[in-house]
Amino acid sequence: MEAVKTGIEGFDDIFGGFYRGQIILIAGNPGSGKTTFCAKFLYEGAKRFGENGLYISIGESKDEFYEYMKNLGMDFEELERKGSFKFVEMLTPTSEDALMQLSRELTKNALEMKAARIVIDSITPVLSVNPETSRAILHNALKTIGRELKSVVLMTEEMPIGETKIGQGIEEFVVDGVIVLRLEVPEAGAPVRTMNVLKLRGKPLDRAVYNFEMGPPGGIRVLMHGVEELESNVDFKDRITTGIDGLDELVDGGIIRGTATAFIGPSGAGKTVLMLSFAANSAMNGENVTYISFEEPKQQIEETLKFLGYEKTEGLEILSLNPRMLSLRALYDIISKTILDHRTMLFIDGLNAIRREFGDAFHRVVKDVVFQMKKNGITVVISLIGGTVKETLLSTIVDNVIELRIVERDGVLKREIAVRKARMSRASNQVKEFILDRKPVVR
Amino acid sequence: MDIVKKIIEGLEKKGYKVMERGKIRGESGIEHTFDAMILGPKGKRIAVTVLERLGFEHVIPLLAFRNDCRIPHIVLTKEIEVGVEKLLKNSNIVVIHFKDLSVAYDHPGLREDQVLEKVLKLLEDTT
Repeated sequence: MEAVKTGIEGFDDIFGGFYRGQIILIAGNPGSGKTTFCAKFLYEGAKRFGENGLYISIGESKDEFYEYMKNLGMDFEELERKGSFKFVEMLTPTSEDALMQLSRELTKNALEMKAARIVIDSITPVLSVNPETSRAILHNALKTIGRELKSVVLMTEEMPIGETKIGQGIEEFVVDGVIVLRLEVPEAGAPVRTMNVLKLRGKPLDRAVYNFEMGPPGGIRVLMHGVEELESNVDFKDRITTGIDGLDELVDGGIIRGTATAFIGPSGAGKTVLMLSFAANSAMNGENVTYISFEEPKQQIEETLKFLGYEKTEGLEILSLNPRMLSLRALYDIISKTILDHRTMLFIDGLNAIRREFGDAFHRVVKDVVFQMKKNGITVVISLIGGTVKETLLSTIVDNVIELRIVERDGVLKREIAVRKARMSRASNQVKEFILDRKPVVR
Repeated sequence: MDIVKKIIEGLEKKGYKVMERGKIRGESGIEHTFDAMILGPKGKRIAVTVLERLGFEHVIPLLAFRNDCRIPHIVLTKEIEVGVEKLLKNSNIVVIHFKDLSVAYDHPGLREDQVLEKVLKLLEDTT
């Protein structure tokens, strides 16, 4: 069987695409991303793989489709001019003639333009006026057409919100693949899009649910999170000095390039000062650093830097973001920019703030961020409020955990620092004193 | 179409039973009506659809009916849109296009004989 890449980032890495002649059902509730998924499949097919695409739209106008997709970075007008794409508008069918209408538009156009990729968006109105023959239409008619034309046929099916059954209830049994897209709105934070692959003939389904996101410039991207997909670009021999007196000795000479480090501790333990000093020192040593704060305004951070003695911090980009306004999309845009700008280090101070906003999705988000950075060889340093590693629940995501705490000794509050976890390093097991005296020092 | 009537008569003369407006219940439970149903020995059946013009609009319904009923299917037509046959050729749907028999246009009797011959061959092959 000949594999057909979808061109959708992440999807092909996970599943390798579809097979020629297959018929795939893309189901989901309104706004879940079905049209964008299908559009991307056609767009990339024409742009990257030289395969002509036919889009049969039932209900949506061509102008709206072109405009919306252009906003997502897909210029279908250009493809149409080149003859590699055709948009066919079909009126919403109200009678049994619907099947004949679909038949004519699909087969004639597909044959004329030698369409290797066909989308029917959506099949729901056609099947609903021909419920008795749904199985035959899907199983034999569309499958035969796909086989004869050597095409992959994607068709979308509407699922009302709250509904779990797909269409007439038989579709999932007769097609080669079933992908259900969902738009989940958590109690806190940004909406999360999930892709549930229920069936995909010829492909093992190790894990069924994936997160995905929509937006420019790619249109749609499936996020691969989880250890099994982790790629890293770690250079074990290359250590980045923190530039903080005493800290490098504690962490076996510095932080390994391309790893993820978390500074955890209660409020007032010195995390921000430590993070800022590390970031500024790194920038001064030639690193290209992005520093994101979810808790302090940029001006305040700049003042703190001056207080710490850093007047010029070229190579250090500071972003102060309001977590309440941060959507998953925006966060990934920042991450993408960090990669595109060839940053070598990313500091995120006050990650707790987005935990409140993202709710249950927080760990997924942090995992994705860390893995994306590691994949690109970018060193990540984050700070979190938390008493213990377990409390932060990020122990498996990051490579190094450095704990800061405040203790009382002889009636005086003192700060202490210790390495809780250090992958690939012989870190010290000593608890040292952490002194904040203009510049931070570890003793 | 006169030619269809004559083919039916010809089949009946050869001992086949032909039901005009033949009905068959598909696996889906829906009852399909065809222009004719030819009944061969051992209960074998062939569905016959007669169309003035076979176009792309007929492809999906024909393929769907074919799958639902799972019996051989003959489509008799005067005209066929270019490309349609390609989509039906591997689906056990035999298209008999009268224009293909143009050598016999000046001899209608001969043309009917040729169609009948095709139909009989199909019946023999399938029954």
